[in-house]
Amino acid sequence: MTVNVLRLITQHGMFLLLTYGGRVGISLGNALPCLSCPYISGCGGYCYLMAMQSNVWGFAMPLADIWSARGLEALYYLGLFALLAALLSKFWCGWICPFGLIQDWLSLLRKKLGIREAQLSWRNRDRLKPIKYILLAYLIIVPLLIAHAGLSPDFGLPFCQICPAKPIMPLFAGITRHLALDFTNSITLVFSILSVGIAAGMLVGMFFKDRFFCMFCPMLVLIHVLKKISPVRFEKAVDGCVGCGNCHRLCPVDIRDVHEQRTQKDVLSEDCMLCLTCSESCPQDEVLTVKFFKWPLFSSSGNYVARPFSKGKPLHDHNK
Amino acid sequence: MWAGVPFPAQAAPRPLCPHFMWIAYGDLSKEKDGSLTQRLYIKTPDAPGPSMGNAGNWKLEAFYASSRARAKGPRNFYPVAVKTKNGTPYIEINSGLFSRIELWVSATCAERRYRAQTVLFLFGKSGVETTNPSPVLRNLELEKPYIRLSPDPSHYWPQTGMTYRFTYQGLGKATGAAQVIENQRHLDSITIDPQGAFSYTPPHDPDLDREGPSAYKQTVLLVEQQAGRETITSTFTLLLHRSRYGHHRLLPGLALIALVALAVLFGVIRKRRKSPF
Repeated sequence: MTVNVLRLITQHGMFLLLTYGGRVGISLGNALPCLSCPYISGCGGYCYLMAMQSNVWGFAMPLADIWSARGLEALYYLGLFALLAALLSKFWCGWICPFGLIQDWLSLLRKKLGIREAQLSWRNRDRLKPIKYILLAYLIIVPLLIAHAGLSPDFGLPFCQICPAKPIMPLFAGITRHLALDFTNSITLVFSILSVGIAAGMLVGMFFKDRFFCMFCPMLVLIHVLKKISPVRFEKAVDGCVGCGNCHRLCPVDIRDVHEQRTQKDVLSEDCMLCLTCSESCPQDEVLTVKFFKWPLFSSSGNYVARPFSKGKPLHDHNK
Repeated sequence: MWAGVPFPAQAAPRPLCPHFMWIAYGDLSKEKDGSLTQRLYIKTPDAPGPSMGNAGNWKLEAFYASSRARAKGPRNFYPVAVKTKNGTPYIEINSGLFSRIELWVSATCAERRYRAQTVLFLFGKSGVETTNPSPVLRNLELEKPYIRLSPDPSHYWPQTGMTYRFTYQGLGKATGAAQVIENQRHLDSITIDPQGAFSYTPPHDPDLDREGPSAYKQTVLLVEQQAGRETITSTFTLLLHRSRYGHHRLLPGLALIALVALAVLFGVIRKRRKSPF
């Protein structure tokens, strides 16, 4: 079994657990470091971004609540999120995130239809990079304004209101109401137009570009912040690299750093989702290694790369 | 047309006893331990008449039953203390869990009997059900009259546009209609069937829609009955929020999705045709 197959099995298992788990009594809590959408009735756990923005456990909490049991509970969820995010690091993105799987499905469909992936220039990529930081600031500042500056509560959960997962993910539970426009008042109408419009644009973007939404996901930033304390390490033995460029060519999120790194062994970059495609495609023995503490989880190897070729097919048919 | 007319009419002769009694929601306090305390005032119409300042004279009694939101079966009612502030009696209900609380208040004045009820939901987080349980139990469902709201899982967040089904259990035959009162103004009359059943669907309220999702208004349903020489009035207070999904329109949403998706698709195809790769 290849790593890629193992990843697909894990992704599908986690998708079922996080989308339908609540229906069989499973709840993984409110602090998950992945886009497990709380708008799905009967989901198995909630994305922490919602808790972060809420007036119960997040930045919209009134000051008076901070030194009460509610404040402690908010601290507990923050701690739990930090623990989970540090423990599995970017494995949350590449192996667990249900919205990531939707993106992978769309990419797979594109490949099956024989349509090549859209390419973004490095200049455009660099221009888009700050968006996830802007979204992170937005989801922190707006709840603070609601709690302390009298901003209308209709601005509540500001990131959820524009997150493309909100209209798309509940469809898997038969819930279509988040595709509707909300005419309650002008604020709800603008947010619903943005929500539906962004979801539509993202769907097309995710079809043409692998993991398109991940370029904008603020969760990626939060997980990356905890990299220093994470036991998950992605290392490159720089001396063994022959510079073939497989890691760069096959990376679904077009990361150059692994290929270009010539001095430092840490190659876990901000956009990496630890799908391990680069490690799988590296023909040099033990040049790319993913470790949990000091234990290697997977190392690149020439034999691993050669094995599929011996069966007459490439390791990753990316159709780029 | 009753809408907009003060209820009861300001010009009514000064009564010995008030027309009816109702429960009005006050402040909701978050306690340090994570529990919530809801204050509820016991009020009579503002029309000229005696004040309820001295709760003892009115034989005011208040009871509550607390249960998990979807619990079924007979409930036991616990007495709760009636306090007074500025001449207005009030009750405080505390809960540290997600609780569905039924509150019953009764009073008498000369030959009038009053019953006021409501159902409230508290989302407490201390893990302790309530801080003011009393050991005396009483099954008030044997003590008519009362208005029973048929439980529904959606009631944890009561909204305009939802249908609420009630049953009036009177001492004899109920009068033909339940009155809907908002801000002491009569809004509507609802026919009660011979079994005492009636339902009410509060209309959407533009004022609530403009305010936030937590804003609320209070609507009182009033049933009046004559039993011999006694006049009995029962009220049920509904705490209503704006409708969450009542203003959602799916078709414009789907049209917008199609429009944006096509526009982006067209943009991508156009860019790819220009691109040499």
